Amino acid sequence: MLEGALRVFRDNPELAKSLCSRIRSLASQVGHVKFMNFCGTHEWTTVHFGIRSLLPPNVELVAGPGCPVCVTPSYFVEQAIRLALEGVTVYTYGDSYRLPALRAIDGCRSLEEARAAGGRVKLVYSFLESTEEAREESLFFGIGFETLAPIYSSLLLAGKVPRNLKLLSLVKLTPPAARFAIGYHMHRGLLPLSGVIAPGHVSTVIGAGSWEFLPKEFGLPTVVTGFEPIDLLVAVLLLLKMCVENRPRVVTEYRRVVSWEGNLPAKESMGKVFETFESSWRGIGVVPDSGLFLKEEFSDFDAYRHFNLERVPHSERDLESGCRCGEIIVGAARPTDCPLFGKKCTPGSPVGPCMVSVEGPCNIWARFGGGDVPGNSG
Amino acid sequence: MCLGTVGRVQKVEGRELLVDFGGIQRRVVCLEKVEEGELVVVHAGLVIGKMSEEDYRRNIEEIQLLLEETEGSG
Repeated sequence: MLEGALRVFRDNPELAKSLCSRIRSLASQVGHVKFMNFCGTHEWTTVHFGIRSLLPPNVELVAGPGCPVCVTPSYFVEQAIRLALEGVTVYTYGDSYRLPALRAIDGCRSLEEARAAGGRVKLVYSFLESTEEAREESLFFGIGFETLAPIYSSLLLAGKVPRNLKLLSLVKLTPPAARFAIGYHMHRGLLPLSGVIAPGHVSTVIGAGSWEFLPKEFGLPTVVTGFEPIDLLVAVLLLLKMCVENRPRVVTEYRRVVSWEGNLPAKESMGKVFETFESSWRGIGVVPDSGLFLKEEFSDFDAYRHFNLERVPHSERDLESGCRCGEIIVGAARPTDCPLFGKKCTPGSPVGPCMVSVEGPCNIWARFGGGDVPGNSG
Repeated sequence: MCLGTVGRVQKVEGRELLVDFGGIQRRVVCLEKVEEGELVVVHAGLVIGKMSEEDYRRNIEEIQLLLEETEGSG
């Protein structure tokens, strides 16, 4: 089935041609439409496989907030650097290792630089590794969306987290971010969104039903889709069909993995361990009900409490001068609109947070030539 | 960040699994009930979902249906 799936959903030019032909037909029946994705992997697929180049000029795909590394405030990077230099072992995913802080701490602007300066920074693939390894006072730099929260909650509930390991929960929720991005486009004179490509793997956890507010409250057609090029083309076709028929609803294209209810044991586990609170998004500001923080019962493992850190830092300036990551992350600007893109800011030497992670929009556009297609004006 | 990798379950030990990703094996955490031989989607050490043969077939059938519904839509 796995090999078959790749033949059907990736190496399938005939199906791609059929889908594109129908996309062109339906696109001729609508005006300019703007569909937003909320997952860095969707943006990667879109750019890597040149999906934008296959679409008619009136069908615009924009990247929304889909990269948790991109939106983690500088304050937390700075605090993690400080703690690593003071002797606390900081565990981090590879994605956040090079995330630049706005202000240098003892000359270090990232966890990578802190490690080079002798700080205690360790890269791990999963939270599980850190729970097995942590011996001294440690902090886990817990970036993520809903896909990562269950591993934190399940290991805490199973009693597998040692007392010396403190979780800095930087988990952010995608539906509130979608709500924020939709409002941003509606209220700032931008062309409003016409549809949403909902994140496939986040939806695997939270369920496709979590997006029902999009058609109900905003009249937005929504497709939960997978990560192969055929998945993306099917999503565009489904969105156009709903636009033409004026029947907005949530459709699950990624049927092979996503259910309407989601991963119930994972959701139950998250509900027992985390509470929802407002959260700071780098370059965007504070988004209501968009962060997951440990409940009081798990305060012994809470890095905010143990290291006396602010939960919701309010920083008016969280980006380098000239950096447009704040607009790029909500789809109000394209990476190529930023004066630093490809000049001062590159994947080898990132200035803005969207250039760091392999799923940040600037990093993707820089590596694969971008989706800078005439007619798609951002 | 939310990249999911599909692998096949090799061994089930309570809530931990040994999963094979095309020759590379990893220990991962799983909250759902799974059996050896099943395909799972793994993200950063956690099984976030399963991929069933039936849903995979339905996925393809629905695309076929969409193509039929939109044929000659111009």
